[in-house]
Amino acid sequence: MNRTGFMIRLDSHLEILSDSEKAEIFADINEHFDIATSQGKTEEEIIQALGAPEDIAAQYVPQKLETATAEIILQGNQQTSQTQYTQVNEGNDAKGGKIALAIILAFFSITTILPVMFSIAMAIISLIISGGSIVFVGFIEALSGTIENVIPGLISGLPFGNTANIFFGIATICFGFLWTVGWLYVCKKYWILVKKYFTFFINILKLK
Amino acid sequence: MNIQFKKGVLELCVLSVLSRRECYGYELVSEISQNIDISEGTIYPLLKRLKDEGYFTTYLQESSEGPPRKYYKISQTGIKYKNDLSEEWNEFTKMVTNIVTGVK
Repeated sequence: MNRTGFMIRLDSHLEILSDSEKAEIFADINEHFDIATSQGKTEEEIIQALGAPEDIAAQYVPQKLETATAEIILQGNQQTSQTQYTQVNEGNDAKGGKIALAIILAFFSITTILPVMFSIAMAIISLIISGGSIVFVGFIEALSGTIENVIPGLISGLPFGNTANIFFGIATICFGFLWTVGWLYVCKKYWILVKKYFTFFINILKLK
Repeated sequence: MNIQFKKGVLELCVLSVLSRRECYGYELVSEISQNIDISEGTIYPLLKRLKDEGYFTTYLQESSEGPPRKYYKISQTGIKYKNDLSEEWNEFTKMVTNIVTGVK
């Protein structure tokens, strides 16, 4: 592992922290690398002495959780006893509000939004697949005259003459393709919507 | 040395070094890791926590070699906290020594 790899691994374990806090941590560790390098140490030696990035990250993250919890408790006390100070503590209030919002959002996501999202996704996928069935029916319809010639009696009650059947068959195939393309388009739009929701949700969880 | 011992006294070590002089991170880390065998990376989270709790202030100072360095300066509450901790430490080691050596 080199310096870049070390920083990437550190970053991947600091996801819960805000960008400004991550920037502070990276500045500290980068300064360490810079000075140690200027004193003639190799990247391997520096990384060896620093220890595993996961261990370092783990010591930053619980700190953050404790601070967040303390702020919720503080927040509760402020609201009951010192409402007149709300303006002064706007920063804290905003953060407390965000934590509350994150908890509510997480609850609704798991109980309501995620199952609904999943159902809609399944419905769209079924509709896309059903397009395949329509195309298949179209083929049978178009070829029904030929099938009737090869195996008489397999398809009963043909409503039209052979030419009309071929015409309707082709129309059905076209409709099947349009149907599939239409639902694929809906699926794409839906996917963008789902991604937007998750980005929003993750940002809320990061308390930004 | 036992890892739990090290972690417990690390805070006191950092505060003690900083109560004598202002240091930049690397200087502090080197000084401590020279004496205590510990992963250097664990000192930075500790420094950040103590800073967030108001025991240090930090400032950037130009360096003759390379980019500016972040210096740590102990605050009044930091000095008080360090004194409390070292008192606790002295009492604790005295107690342990008494038990280990069998003095009543």
